[in-house]
Amino acid sequence: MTAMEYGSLQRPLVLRKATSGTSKPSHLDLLGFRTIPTVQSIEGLQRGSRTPDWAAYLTYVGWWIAGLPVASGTAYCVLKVPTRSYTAALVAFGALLRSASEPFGVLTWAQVQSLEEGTRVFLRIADKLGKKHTRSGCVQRSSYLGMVQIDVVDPKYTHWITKPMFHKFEVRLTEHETSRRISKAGSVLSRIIPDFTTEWIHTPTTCCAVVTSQAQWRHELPTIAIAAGRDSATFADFMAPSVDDVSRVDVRPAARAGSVTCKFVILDGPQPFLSRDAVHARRVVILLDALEYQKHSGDVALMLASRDDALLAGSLQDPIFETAVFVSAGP
Amino acid sequence: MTAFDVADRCFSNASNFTVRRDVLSASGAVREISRSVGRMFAAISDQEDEPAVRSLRRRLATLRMTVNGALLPLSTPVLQLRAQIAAIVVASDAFGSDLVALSSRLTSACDIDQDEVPPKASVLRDLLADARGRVGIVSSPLKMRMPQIAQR
Repeated sequence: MTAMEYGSLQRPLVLRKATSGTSKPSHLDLLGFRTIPTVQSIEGLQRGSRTPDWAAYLTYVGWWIAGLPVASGTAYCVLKVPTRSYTAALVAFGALLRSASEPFGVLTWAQVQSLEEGTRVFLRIADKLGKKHTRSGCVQRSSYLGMVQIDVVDPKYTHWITKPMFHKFEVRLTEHETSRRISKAGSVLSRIIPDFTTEWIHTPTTCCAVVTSQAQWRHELPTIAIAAGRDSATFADFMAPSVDDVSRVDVRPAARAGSVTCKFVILDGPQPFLSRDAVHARRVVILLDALEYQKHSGDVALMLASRDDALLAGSLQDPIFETAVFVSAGP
Repeated sequence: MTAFDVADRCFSNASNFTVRRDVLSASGAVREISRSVGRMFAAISDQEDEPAVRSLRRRLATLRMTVNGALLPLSTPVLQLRAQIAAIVVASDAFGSDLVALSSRLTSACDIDQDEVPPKASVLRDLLADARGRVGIVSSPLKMRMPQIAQR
């Protein structure tokens, strides 16, 4: 990806400086949410504490990087933080918010037209008796303008879909879920994300992978909570596996970093950082505390030197963090 | 305080963190005592690890920490400087003339500049006068080089 292509991305806005007597804007204010959520410890929510700036920033980083279009190579975001506690969880939560805000459920005609060739889709078509059946298919490039070709596997059939007949189909990226179960996480996300469909909760989607200490991860998740309006849920509620037992966030130790298949990976700490070459992902966030960063600053400098883009200087600025975002050459 | 609150404190400290570097010059008495204590440590370095040697080492270490870490003038009775040195002089008698000579230098060093306020105390007073939040002094009690502090 070139610097020009990056220039066309939606750049993060610069927050206005807080003036006395007004509440300071948070990075979460930039995400266009219906309700700005509060991210705090459970005790903090009970005390009525607001979202700390650093927690808002880390959530924002996860959301931003998860939406970064990376056609080739790997986009790296190196974050030097005062402490790594809760940082991976907050970045992962940002990625989860991004995933939940992407189109789910029935796609519109414009969304179907923009699907890339080879994208797997699910078609729901009514038979002569009006009963709907779901068929798995694949988007193919149509040589006819204004027409989308979808090849269904079983029974083998090709649908040529045009706008006038589009209403006969339900095209989805994920299989139709009939469950009407509303979870705590679903209630909170409904308040936060405009056009959120609760179907996302029941759909097996892995938002990101986190290479970290599993004991620390298990300790942290139940202790942070998100509140929006009168609804609240812990991180553990959000990151619980879907009904198909697919992890919302794939958590692995450093020794198994090479087996990660997710396109967005968070490397939490020095050991996962050292296994970065084994990770094949489009987006990688590296979290190091100040001392760890000092120890591995030479490696980070080498990574920066081998980048093939213009460094996104100033794109993610914060007084607490030192952040570097760059794209390295890759397959 | 929850783990999240601790993390919040770490991030708050990082955003509010400022470094003020004051190079402190020790008084003549402190320099002389530190130097003599160092020489006495060197003089007993080849001694067997016996209770009398361990006791003397402990007394020397305590004396050095007292003079280097004091925020009060060395003449302040609460520091018990003279009593500490007297005990070292008595203990040194068992180790030969070199150590006795060095311990007598401790006694003479104790007589000079004793009413001078240590520079660390005046730095602390300045910091507290300007402080809006909490103030901490990071310094080595043993006059050793600490790489992390030097880099910050």
